[in-house]
Amino acid sequence: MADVFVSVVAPVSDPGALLAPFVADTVGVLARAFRHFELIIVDDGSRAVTRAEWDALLARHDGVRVLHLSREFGEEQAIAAGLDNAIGDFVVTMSPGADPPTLIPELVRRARDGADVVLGVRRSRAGDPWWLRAGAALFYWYARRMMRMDLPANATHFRCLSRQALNALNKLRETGSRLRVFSSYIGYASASYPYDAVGETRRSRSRTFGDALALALAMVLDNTAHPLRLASLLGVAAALLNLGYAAYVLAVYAMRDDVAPGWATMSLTSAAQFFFLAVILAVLCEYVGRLPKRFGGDPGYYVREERASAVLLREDRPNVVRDP
Amino acid sequence: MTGKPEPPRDVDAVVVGGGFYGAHIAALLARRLPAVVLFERENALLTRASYNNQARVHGGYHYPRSILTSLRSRANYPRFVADHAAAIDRSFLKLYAIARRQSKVTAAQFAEFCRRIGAPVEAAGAAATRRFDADHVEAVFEVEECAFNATALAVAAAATMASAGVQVCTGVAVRAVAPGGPRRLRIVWGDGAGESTDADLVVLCTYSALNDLLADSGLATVPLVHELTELALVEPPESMRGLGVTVMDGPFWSCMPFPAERVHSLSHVRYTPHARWSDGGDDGHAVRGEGVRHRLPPSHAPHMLRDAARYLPEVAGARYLRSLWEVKTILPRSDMDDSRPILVRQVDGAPGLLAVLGAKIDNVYDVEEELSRMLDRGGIQ
Ligand SMILES: Cc1cc2nc3c(=O)[nH]c(=O)nc-3n(C[C@H](O)[C@H](O)[C@H](O)COP(=O)(O)OP(=O)(O)OC[C@H]3O[C@@H](n4cnc5c(N)ncnc54)[C@H](O)[C@@H]3O)c2cc1C
Repeated sequence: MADVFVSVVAPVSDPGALLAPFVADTVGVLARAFRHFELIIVDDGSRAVTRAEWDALLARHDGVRVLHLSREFGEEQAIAAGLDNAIGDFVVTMSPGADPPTLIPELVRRARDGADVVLGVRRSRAGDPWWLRAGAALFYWYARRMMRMDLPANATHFRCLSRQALNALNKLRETGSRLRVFSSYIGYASASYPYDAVGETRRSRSRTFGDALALALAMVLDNTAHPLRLASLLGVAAALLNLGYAAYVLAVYAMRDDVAPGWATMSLTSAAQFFFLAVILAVLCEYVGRLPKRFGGDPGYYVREERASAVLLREDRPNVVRDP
Repeated sequence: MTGKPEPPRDVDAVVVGGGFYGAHIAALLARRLPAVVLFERENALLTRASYNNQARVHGGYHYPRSILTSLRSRANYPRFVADHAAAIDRSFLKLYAIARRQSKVTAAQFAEFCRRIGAPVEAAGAAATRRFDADHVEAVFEVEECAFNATALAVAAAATMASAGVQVCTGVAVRAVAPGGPRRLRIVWGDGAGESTDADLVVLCTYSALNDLLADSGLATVPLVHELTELALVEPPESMRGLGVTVMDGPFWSCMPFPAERVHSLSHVRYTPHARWSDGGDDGHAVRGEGVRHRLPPSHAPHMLRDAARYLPEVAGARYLRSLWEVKTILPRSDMDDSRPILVRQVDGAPGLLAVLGAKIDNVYDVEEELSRMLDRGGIQ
């Protein structure tokens, strides 16, 4: 049994029948493998799970904490909330239903062997629709080429961070959607861990096209000013073009005296101008829109309530007061 | 019980339970009544909850969401410190840190609250503030609070018993109290049958065992909530020797000197309570704290130390020594809303029998006030 304290962070949002077996399996694995552990279930605004069901889980299993977020904030924010609260020497994040709890000890072993960050990497994306696979490929290519960040392709939420790496990550504060990128970006030794995710059918939530796009966009915008640079380059190019065109018009005007300035040319020029302007403005807006989030101290999530297991008096406890 | 005097068989008043409350109340009664005896089932005074606690003399800072409780603490604080000067340790820097996330008060609210209750507070200096992790702590305040030495309190209590003329019988467990006999009540004690003492007034100060004794006596129990608590004793790193830290206000922790053993105690709102149960009233009486105390769960000290080090990194240098386990007993919340969080109650069906539930150490003055009023009103019915 390893003499370390391991925290497992698992975000759920209306997990349905998945919840109870997941908690049982995970606690079982942790109790066998580690001297100290905690399983932090981050309840990302579930509505369908009743209080009695949560109570039953907390009464049955030791070492479980539940963080109820005030509403649904999304998987990334839910994980950030869990990371902010985890106390372990090593912290594992995972998606219940997709990532098998039996692999946790192996993931932690790799982190203890020296890699501060171990990233789970799915062996195949066979279960994903074509657009998600194509989009992912495009994203990783862009990250590698343009952002100079070597993200392991197909990295999942199944990962393990050492306390030092987690502290550094938490310092960055905007843990939200940057989680994936920063894990390999904060400069700690990282390793990837290929594994087979369990059937996608058990995944507690599936990603829509919009979700995936928003996530990729957020990660790019949060991590690099590259699109902004692109926009300014575009702006410069457009300006140069305009300049050349103006020179050409002037030259024509100087050399020939039978020209009446054409309505068509004029409108073409302004149309092109406005097109470029619009592109530039769009990119700028994306950035400006992010400023308050970045500097406003917005935690990104709100915890409504936190509760922990109390199982000691299981057999002989007729009336335990649950809420403190 | 070799060498010990036999308990008297007939007295004016009996106090059951020799904790801080029992001793204080016995001295109070001895000022009015000639023959008072105190029964304590452990072998010395103040060895249970009165020893197994964080040893904080509350200066009111702890309850930023309850102005009334805080005002009471503020009122009792100077009196307690003056009455027990020999047991008071104020030789350390007292810091209250406000957690950045999940705290129920903000730094500004805390400062405003202290101002309203008149509790001295000032922003801690840069050097003190820098000791904390800025990502976890919003602000740090320096306050005026102190700790008590529980062993010194016990020594003082024994001396007070002697000078007040209270006869102390340690190592004697009271098994039942019932109306009848030559006086109003008969107290059955010891392990054999038939050993008893008769008295007109009996005060139960048995804290977590209150309902055990009431139930064993066939009397109505009181609705109570119990917690099995763990307080970790640690050898602090050198840098923390002269430092007491409390992180507010939510699932956080406190690490401060424990003068009786010259070490630090570490408590944690999330990890100190291991189990909670309620009894008395309609809930019946199924679980005994003494039973729970003899089946201890694995220690939460590793949890407390790890979490505390996230806020104050130097805690990582503390060395765990052992834990103090105790059953903490409080009144259910409903009772606390409209009345003061102390209990002084006449037990139904047993004239002359009073039940007292101790709260914070300095709340003893509230109990004293209440009890004196009852006695002045022409005795206990
Ligand atoms: C973890 C923890 C931290 C705390 N922190 C603080 C703090 O920082 N500051 C503060 O002011 N308060 C604190 N408290 C509260 C405080 O410790 C108690 O409220 C206080 O000690 C109660 O005193 P008492 O005399 O009523 O109880 P006790 O000291 O427990 O006295 C009761 C006595 O009755 C005896 N007894 C029981 N049954 C019988 C029987 N049948 N016959 C004979 N004797 C019997 C017991 O042996 C015991 O000695 C804390 C409590 C806990 C558990």
